[in-house]
Amino acid sequence: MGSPPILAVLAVIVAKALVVIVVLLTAFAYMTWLERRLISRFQVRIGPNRVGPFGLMQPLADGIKLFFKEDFVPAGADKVLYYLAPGLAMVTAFTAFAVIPFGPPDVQLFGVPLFQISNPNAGILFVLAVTSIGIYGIILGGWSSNSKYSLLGALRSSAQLISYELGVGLAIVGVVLLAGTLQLPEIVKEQSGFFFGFLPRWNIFVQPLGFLLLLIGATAETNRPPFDLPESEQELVAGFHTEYGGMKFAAFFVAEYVNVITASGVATTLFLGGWQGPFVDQFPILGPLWFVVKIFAFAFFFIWIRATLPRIRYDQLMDVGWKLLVPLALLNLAITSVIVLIWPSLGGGS
Amino acid sequence: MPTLNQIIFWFFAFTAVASGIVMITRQKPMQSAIAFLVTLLSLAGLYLLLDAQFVAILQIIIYAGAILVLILFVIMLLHSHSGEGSTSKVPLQRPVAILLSLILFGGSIYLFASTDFGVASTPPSDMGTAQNVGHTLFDKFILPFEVASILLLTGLIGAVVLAKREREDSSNDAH
Amino acid sequence: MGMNTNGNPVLTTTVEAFEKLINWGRANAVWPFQFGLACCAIEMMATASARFDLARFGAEMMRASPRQSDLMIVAGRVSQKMGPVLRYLYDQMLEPKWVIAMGDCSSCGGVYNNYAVIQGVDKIVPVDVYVAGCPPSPDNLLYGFMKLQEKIAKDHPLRSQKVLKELKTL
Repeated sequence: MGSPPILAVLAVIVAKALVVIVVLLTAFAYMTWLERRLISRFQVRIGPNRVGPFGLMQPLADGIKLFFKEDFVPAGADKVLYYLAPGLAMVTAFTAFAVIPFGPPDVQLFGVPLFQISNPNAGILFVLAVTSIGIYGIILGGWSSNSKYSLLGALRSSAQLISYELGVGLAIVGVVLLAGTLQLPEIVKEQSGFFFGFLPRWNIFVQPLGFLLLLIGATAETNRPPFDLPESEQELVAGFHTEYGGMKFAAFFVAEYVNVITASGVATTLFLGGWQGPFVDQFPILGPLWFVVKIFAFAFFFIWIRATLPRIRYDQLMDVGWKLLVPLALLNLAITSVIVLIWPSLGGGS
Repeated sequence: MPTLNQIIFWFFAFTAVASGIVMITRQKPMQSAIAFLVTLLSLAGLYLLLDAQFVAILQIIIYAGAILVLILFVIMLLHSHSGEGSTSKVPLQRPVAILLSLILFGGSIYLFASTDFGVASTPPSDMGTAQNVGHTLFDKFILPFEVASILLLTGLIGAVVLAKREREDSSNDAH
Repeated sequence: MGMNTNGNPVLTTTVEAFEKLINWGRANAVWPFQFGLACCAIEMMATASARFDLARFGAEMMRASPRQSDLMIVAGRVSQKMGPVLRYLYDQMLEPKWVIAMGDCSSCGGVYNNYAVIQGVDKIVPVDVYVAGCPPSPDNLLYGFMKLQEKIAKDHPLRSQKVLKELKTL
């Protein structure tokens, strides 16, 4: 059988990317709805319920309103950077999702795996690289607005993000040691099978400390409460997006929620077995379904934390990042390395 | 008809040089920093073309994602009033600089033109993967690796000591 | 921007349909600007919390930045010192924007008939809805909010000024 025509392969890749973008945008819209309804329930209120059945048209109304707002640039702002910042934030948020597998890799069309956009050798490092570029969206947004609140918010946010990148990276290395590879489909495959016959072989049972550290680090990386000091209202008006309104503000909004979805995707893939679940071998289409269920569980968890915990002060935030997360992650790494050395069958790869 | 490889190479090479030129001709340091970011990303693309995947990703994570962010911190904290560069009063600075850079440029062109580079043997295509880089680093180059770590540790300790000493100095002045 | 449909029925119907859509979006996703100045602020907070729940109308995103909000609820008395600040913030809000004067003090000066309080906030910003009461109960404010939604629904965001004048004279 000859190699498939290059146009067909290109068409499949482009179609995959488009489908994922559309799904992510819809997921963002309904995550805002879910957040507002859930937080209202946590606060014994009801939440949006007038705009369509159960308030389901609320994201559409928000979107229409933001779209038709006045387009505006603050006086003295750096125009190029002002327009670039929300675009950069949004693009990197979507790009980071490109390496996450949401279904079994053997479902292919013209030789192109359908359930993952791309599988580079560097795997999980790609997500780290793209989120590092995402920091620029925040820095440029804060700087180019020519306003002191924005600048302070941007400085705080970027310091927070680069500090927690360390903790997240080190927590991920534990999983990489166990799997022996950086590539995400392989990491998911290593989590198939069962311990003791009934407990799925997910990394969360083998690396509980790493999971906890990744969760805390991911909350800080995506600027979610309780680590949302850069956007806090009481301290910084609205942080780095103080001077952004209308569609540009919507772009930052999209970037934040898509980052949360990507972080949930990474945590699912690394610790909860990704797309695996009952009956996936017989019906590969169930793979994405289990993946969505797990992402939904993480989204619920992030919203729950938002409704429950008070905001952390900035110096406490940096303390937690450097004095708690990094040493614990190093400890986790040391223990994992020792165990993998003593029992090489537990670790993977050569 | 150029191959796809060549087209991509020329695209990344052109972007790297163009953003380098943009970087040194901007008035505002922030715009120079963003042009520098584009240069780093083009370099990462060129590394990918050379099958050095691990180095490409590390270039983005470390250089573009951490070092350049710290450079931006410095710019934001120190130029927050004007956002523009400083004026210097060294006499004859511009003519001397132009002369020296022309000499350097001419020398490099001469060297490149008069050397016979030959064609290198093509390394295996998986040479740049994380596994191979890791093996080589911890196998043949373990000593330089450890020495580099100690160098970085020295830098870290020095930074902490300097910061702490400044704080103690200022608090001593306050009392 | 503004459109002049020249009486063309197809164009008029399309433009009216689009206007209805835009008005629906704007009326159901109003983001208020936290501008609680005095006692009415307590009632505004009560409106946003459990028993009365402004969030049902989609208005729970009370943003702190004027650039991101549509509606300024002036809740409380506006002193002479606060007047310029209020005008400044109103100017910073992006079009389209609306103002609700909540309570007697912001509508007409209320009990404070003296030199220190601005006798009605409509002397400095254009007000769309006045909510009476000292302080107005949350049901009152919700009624005012619903009146504002009705007002937004009657807007013509896509028409030119000439056509708007003609429509007003009809």
